[in-house]
Amino acid sequence: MTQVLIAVDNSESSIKTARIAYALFGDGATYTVVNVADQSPMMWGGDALVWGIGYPIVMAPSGAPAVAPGGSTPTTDAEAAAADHAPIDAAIQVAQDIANEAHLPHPQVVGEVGDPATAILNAAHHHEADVIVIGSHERSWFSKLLVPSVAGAVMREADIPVLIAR
Amino acid sequence: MLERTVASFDGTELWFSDSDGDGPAVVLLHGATMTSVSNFDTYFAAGSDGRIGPMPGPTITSLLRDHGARVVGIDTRGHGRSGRSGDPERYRGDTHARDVGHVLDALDLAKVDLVGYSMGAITAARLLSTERRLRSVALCGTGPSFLVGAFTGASALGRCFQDNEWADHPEFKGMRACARLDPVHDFDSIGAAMIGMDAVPADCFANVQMPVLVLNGGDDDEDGDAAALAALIPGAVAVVAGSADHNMASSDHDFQTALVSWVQRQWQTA
Repeated sequence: MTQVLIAVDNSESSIKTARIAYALFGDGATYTVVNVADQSPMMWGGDALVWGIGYPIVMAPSGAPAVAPGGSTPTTDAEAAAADHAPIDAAIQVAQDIANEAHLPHPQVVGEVGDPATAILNAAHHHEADVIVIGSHERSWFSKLLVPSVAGAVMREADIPVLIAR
Repeated sequence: MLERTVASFDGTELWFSDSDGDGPAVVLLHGATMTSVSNFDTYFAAGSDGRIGPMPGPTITSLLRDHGARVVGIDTRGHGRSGRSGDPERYRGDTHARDVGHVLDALDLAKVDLVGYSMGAITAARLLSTERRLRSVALCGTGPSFLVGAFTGASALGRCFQDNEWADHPEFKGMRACARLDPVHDFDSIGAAMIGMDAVPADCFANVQMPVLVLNGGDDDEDGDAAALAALIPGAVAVVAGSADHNMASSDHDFQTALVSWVQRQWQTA
C-alpha cells in the first residue's frame, strides 16, 4: 500500500494540498500529515522572521516584541518543557484539522520542529513514505530573494517522488 | 501489443496500439512532433556521453500495463503511423477530437481514462464537455495557453517543418529533435498539423463532469501554469511533479508516479 506523506503548514492552501493528495492516491493509500512547527524565529532587522513551509516569511509589525509562537519567556523548568512542547502540539492540531477537512481516511498526524525541509525529509524517512505531496505558495520576489523555497529544497534532497500541489 | 488502424470521418487512417485485455482502458494522446511510441513508450535518459537517447527504463505505457490497464496509444493524424497530409485544413478545429471519437468507436469501449500530453492535452480539453465515454482526463504538459485569446498559433514552427528552414528559428530545434525520435515521421505533415492547429474555445470547460488532473514537469515552462489551467476547470487539481522539462517529463520518475497513481485511483471509484 502506498505511503503518502503530506507536508502542510498553517496556511489555508494546505487543505487543498491534502485534497489533491487524496485525489491522486485515493483509498488505496495510507496518509501521514506532517506539520513543522513555526519554532525558530530569526531576528532580522529587529523583526521576527518565522519559518513555515514554502511560505517562510512572517514579519511582525515593526516595534512589536519578537516572541516564539506559543509562549512567553518560561520561568521554571516545567514551564520551559511545556513551552517546548507547545509548538509541536499546536502543529499536530493543525495537521489533524487539515486531515479532517480533507476527509483523509485514517490519517496519521505528525508534528515536527526545526528546519522545515529537513524535518519533512526526516518524517518521510521515518514513516517509510513512498511519495511526498507538498504545497507551494505564490511568493514575492522579495521573499524568494531572502528565503529558499521549502518545496524546492525537499524536491532536491528527497530520494522519493515529490509532487507539488498547485 | 496489437497494432490497428481505423478510418476517421474524412477517411484519414488512424493508427493505434492496443495492449488488449480486460483491464480498465487508458487512451494516450501524444504531443506535437512526437508519437504514441516516442512520447509514452520510450524511456529517455542521458547516456554516458551526456546525449539524451532511448534507454531501458519504465515508460508510462509499461507502468500502466503493469498495473493492469489496457493501454491504447493513438498516433495523431499527420504524426507517426497515422494518415498524412501536407494540407493544414485537414487538422483544423476539432478534427483531432473527432478522430479520438472514431478510435473509441472502433474499440467499442464504454469508459476510458484519457491522458493527453501538450498537443494531446489540447485535444483532450476539447473532449471534456462533449465525449461521454471519459472516466477521467489528465491534461499534461500544458497551461491555459491553448485557449482562444491566449493562443498565438504554431504556424512559424509548422513552416519550419514544411520548408526545412530552421536557420531563422534556433528555438525550434528541440522540436525537430523530438520529431526525429520516432523515424516514421513525415515532416511535411507535421508542419501542416502545426499550421492547422486552432485555439480552443474557453467554453470547452463549461460542462465538465469527470475528474480532471493538470500535471506538469517541475521545469516545464513551455505552455504555462498548471494551476492557472486547473482554476478554469470545475473540480480540477493541479500537480507539478519532479524536475523535468517539457520534453523529458514523461520519462521522469516523479511525473510517472503522479500520472499512474492518478489513473489507477480512477478505477477505485468507478
